[in-house]
Amino acid sequence: MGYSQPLLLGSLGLLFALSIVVLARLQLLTLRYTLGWFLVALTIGASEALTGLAEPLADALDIRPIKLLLGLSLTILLLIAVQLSITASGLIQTLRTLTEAHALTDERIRRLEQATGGDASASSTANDKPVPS
Amino acid sequence: MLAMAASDVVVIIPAHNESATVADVVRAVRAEGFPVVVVDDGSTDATGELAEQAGATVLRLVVNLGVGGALRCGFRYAVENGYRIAVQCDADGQHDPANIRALLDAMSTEHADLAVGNRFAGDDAMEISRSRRFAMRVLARAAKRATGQPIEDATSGFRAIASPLLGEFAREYPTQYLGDTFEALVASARAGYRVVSVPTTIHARQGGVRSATTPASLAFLARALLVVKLRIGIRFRSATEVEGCRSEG
Repeated sequence: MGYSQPLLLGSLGLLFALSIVVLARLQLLTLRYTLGWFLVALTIGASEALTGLAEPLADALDIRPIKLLLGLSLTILLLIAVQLSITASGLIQTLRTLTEAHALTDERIRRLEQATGGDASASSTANDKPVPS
Repeated sequence: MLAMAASDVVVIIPAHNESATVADVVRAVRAEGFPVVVVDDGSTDATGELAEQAGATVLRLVVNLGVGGALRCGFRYAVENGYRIAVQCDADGQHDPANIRALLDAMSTEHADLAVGNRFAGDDAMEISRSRRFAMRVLARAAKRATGQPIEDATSGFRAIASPLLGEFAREYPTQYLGDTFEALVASARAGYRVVSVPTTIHARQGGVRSATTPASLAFLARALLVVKLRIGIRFRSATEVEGCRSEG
């Protein structure tokens, strides 16, 4: 096998880690995700060494070390994907709530401006009974 | 269900690029004596301005949230401003505002929390394609199975909702296509609210376009059935639970 495979995997891991640093410096990734993706980069870079470490467990489970590592890597990626889905779902909810709150506040401001003779863009023919809570 | 006065009722109209029809719909609803709230769902045309000029209060969503999101905003407005009944009505002129009183009357006489306008019961029942009719039958059957109540038109967007269910809709409301109609109906019935079906008149769409293509509608149909079957959708609190929370607060 020689050194070519560990070198290739190490270089890939390093390149991935550098990309994560650049993204983090550009403020495109939060610390939480930077650390998560760093873990993935580390796994890629050190996968040759990890294969050796995984051998006893793979032997005990009667599977090949590379398959064990592949399974673990996929599990990590799956967990990150699920975590991202949870975050995205939460953000969608937040966006919806903020958008609704903005619309309700905007309407109240326009109504107040109208009542106080301010710079209201609202028409004077609007409904006669909104009763502010 | 509660006793109602006209001042307890507000009509909510979600609208996305409905400038061709929204003003006429607002005027027609106001002619029936009800205040109107148009939720302008991120329109890029003059929907909001025209609705306002026609006499509606306009809530402007800066981002398009879809019908369910727009409706929840309208329900929140209703609750925050002390209305006890909200009627939801389409902006494309399909729903006849003259039927609002029929919804409210049914709600009152049958002590219902949710009155759903049935577009297929009147003399001028809506003409629809075979595939759409099939989908609606499937949903109606699923709604009946899930709720134990006969609902002929589970996807009708012409409805009246009374407190405390209105408060639940304002708190949390399904936002996906069919979520705002079918899923909300099933969730309401499952939470113990009384749902009734009311024959209503339906007109041809005066403007605007359908919100989903046929393949997308099929995907949403499968999704909605799955959500209801697996009970993974929104869960409303029962009237008793709402009352309990209120007295604790």
